[in-house]
Amino acid sequence: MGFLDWLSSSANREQNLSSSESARKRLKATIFQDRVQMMTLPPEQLEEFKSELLTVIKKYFEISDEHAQCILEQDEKEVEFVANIPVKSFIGQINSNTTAETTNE
Amino acid sequence: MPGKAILFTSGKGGVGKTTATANIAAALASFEQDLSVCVVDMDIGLRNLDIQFGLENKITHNVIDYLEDNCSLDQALVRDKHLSNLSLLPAAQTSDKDAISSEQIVRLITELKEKFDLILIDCPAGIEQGFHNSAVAADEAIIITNPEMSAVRDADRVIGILESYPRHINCWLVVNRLNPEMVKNHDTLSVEDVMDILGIKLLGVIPEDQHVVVSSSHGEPLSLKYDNQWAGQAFRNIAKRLTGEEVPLLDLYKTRFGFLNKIKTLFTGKK
Repeated sequence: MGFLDWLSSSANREQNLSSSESARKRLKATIFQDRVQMMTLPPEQLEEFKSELLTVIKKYFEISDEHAQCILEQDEKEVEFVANIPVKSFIGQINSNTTAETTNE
Repeated sequence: MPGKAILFTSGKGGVGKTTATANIAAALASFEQDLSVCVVDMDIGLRNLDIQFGLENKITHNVIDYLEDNCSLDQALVRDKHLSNLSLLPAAQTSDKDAISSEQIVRLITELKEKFDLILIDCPAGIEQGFHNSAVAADEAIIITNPEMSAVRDADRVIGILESYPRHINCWLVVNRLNPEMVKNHDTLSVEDVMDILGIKLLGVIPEDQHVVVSSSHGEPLSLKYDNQWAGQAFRNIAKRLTGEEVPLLDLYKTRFGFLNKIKTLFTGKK
């Protein structure tokens, strides 16, 4: 390795990550994406899951089906199943404007 | 007591699966005369395990012949040249990977478990039917990877698939072809990085060693040679850990980068 190569490579090292750090960072991000894809239900299955979930909730709450939302959310670290289901009333109770929010990782 | 079936898998091809299977099997058989070991080549259509043992000229029948009732199990099994307690069940070279069903494999492995203490299954690369066939009857899995992005990514995928099986398969990590010098210079992923990402227990680390290629050429597993070769020792250590013995990891830095080597490096510029 010539002097100039050495100089440019050490200058690069200061600006950039080492090869191992770069590999680690990229790999972690890639594997996270892979795992998310593996975990995500295909749309038709998510719909089926949503309707099953609502059936259970309806045993206890009166809800408005059309406003119910069920999605898988992801940030950099984890995937969350988020269900946002507006509750009209508890079964046996009248006019309670509560929203049930369920979070399940 | 029926034997135990251990799957050797990696997802990615070319990480050293077949070499590791052969070396670990040979080491296991060399420890104890009483331990009967069978290696099964599941890479149907791409037979290679025979080469590792130098048995490529001894094969008359193969696993497909047996499954299709064209020969007996004993006819299909090939005994090792040196170790009478080690047998190979060769893959077929002509049939394709879809030639066998999962049910047939379950029956085969159950039968082999009656005959042998340990069954080492060399899985084909990929995650298609050949992979599932290899994994379907395994009790434990050894995930082989290299300290390199694509190999680790594929290993993660394979672990994910094995974890999705209804039956629990214990997964162990083997990091193959580690170049200690590159790790030291932060040029490549370290064993710790790989463990951190994959999150399974470490069974062993095999250093990059040219002797592995040389011993493959001779058809003699390196793990049978006691002339202080790194990789051979690493393979033997893994085999010992599989038998339950506690063996510390090889210190890949101490010896190779010892005082004399440092001086040599100073003078020659080579490491």
